[in-house]
Amino acid sequence: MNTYPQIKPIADIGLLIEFGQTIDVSIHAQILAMDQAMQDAPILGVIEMIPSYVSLYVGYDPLIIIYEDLVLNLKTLILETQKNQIKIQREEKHWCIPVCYETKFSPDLEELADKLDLSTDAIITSHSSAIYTVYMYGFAPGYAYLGGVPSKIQIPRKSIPIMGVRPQSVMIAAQQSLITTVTMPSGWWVIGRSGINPLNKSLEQPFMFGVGDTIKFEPIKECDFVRFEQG
Amino acid sequence: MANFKIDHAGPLITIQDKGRTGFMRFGVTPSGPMDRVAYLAAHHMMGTDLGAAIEISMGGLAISCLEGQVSACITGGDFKITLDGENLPSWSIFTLRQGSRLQVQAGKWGSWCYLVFAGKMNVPTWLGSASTHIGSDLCGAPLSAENSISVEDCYLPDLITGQVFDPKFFKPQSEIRIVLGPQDHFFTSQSVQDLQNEKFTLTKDFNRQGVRLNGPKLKITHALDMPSEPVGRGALQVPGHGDPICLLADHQTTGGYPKIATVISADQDKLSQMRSSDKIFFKVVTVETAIEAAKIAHQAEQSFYHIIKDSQKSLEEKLWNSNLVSGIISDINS
Repeated sequence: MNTYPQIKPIADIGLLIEFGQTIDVSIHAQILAMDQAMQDAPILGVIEMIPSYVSLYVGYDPLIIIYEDLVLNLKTLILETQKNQIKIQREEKHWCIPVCYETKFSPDLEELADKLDLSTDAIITSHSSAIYTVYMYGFAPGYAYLGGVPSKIQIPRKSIPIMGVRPQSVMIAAQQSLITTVTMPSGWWVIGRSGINPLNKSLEQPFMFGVGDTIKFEPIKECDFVRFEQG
Repeated sequence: MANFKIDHAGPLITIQDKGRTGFMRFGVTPSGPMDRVAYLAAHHMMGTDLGAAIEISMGGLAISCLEGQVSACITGGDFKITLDGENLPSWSIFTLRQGSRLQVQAGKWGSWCYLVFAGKMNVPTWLGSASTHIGSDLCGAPLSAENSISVEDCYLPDLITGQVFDPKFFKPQSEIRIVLGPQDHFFTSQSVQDLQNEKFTLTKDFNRQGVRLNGPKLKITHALDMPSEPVGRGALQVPGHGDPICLLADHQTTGGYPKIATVISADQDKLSQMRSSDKIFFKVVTVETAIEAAKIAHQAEQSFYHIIKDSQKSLEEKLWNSNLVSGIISDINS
């Protein structure tokens, strides 16, 4: 019988607080609340927290904090967080991201239409009418995992990753969507190009989205995209 | 100011400092040196503040000094160092002058060594660190021939030149300690046994991101459908092919493959210094033992840094120190 949350050690470098097993808005809300609580009352020796779909990672320095003390601390905090139903202090933002879905920028759209037995327009309409939530960052710098892909356009990732997928590619795989920030290999389906790179390395806060933010994609024409890119 | 031209650079040679801690929540890997002990030792040897080093792979590096002069040292593994045609022992301090040509090649053992200058290398930084993350191009790229290196605030510290430390004490042992989890229950009990009882070989799939190990195939009983979760350095992640991949300095921040175990922090850098075709055995320990090992390693390293700093004094003291060092290193390696 599994009861959550569970604390699982990762050698002497960190631990995972698991809040469940499946991707779910209410589980994710508990993770964000715990992340917030730990930011509000920092524990000496904790290096960083990483919120993800079903767990919160806590990295710590065993030379500064005793592991058993950390676990006790976290258990107390979990109870307090649940009791007080801590609301996220940070203001969640809603973003509207311009995306050009035209052929030039959507190399996988035709194949996807074939596989899903939908028109390319139907895929575009479906992708751009959903509201997405930022569940976590992962894989590469600035890669925000967006949950909320409508079920009719959900499809598993490609069997073999494609090398060198360029920045600002808008991709989907299963229930997730993502805007790439740097050139990386990827097995996700590229269906458009974002007018904005959500990672701006010259800014002091280079990452545009906060975990918990919501996003909507706004289709734009190629001429608008070019104008957008030129500023 | 001293300027250098790179005459030759093998693959995977990058600028590394302490690393970029605290941004994993934004998908940013910490990077930093593959062998943190050797990186820190170089700075203690030179008496410099912790800054950027050149991490040299087995591919080797050759540089020529175009102008200026600066002291430098190389630590990590047992690499072959040649300065103006003359062989120097590894873990040496030396001075580079206009016209000097320094060549570093793979030696007896070790996959990574560190070149640190007595000065400040002119390198880009991002999020407070100069560490290059290969692939993202967000902070520099691997070094290549015809790149140049410039060092500011150069000095020639009053140091004994020559070997400061005999690397034989640091040669990694084949035993690597791990803590099981968080997904060891995703594997057959035979596979969890095999992990502890059988030997594993480092393959050629070895870079700053990780190293694929070859041994008995680890069989996963669960479907590969767990939601992606954060992963740390040292994680033994097992994709469908059944070979564990040990994640290293440039590891991705999250992953969806199950992790059967994690290499304890005290043994991570030793594993990084091994080479393809080297064999290892995993020993399962508890979290408590892993934490105790981290403390022992930290204390031993501090004493070691203290001694290599002090070893600049006299030959007599150096000899005395080298006996002391061998005792301490056995602690670090235990």
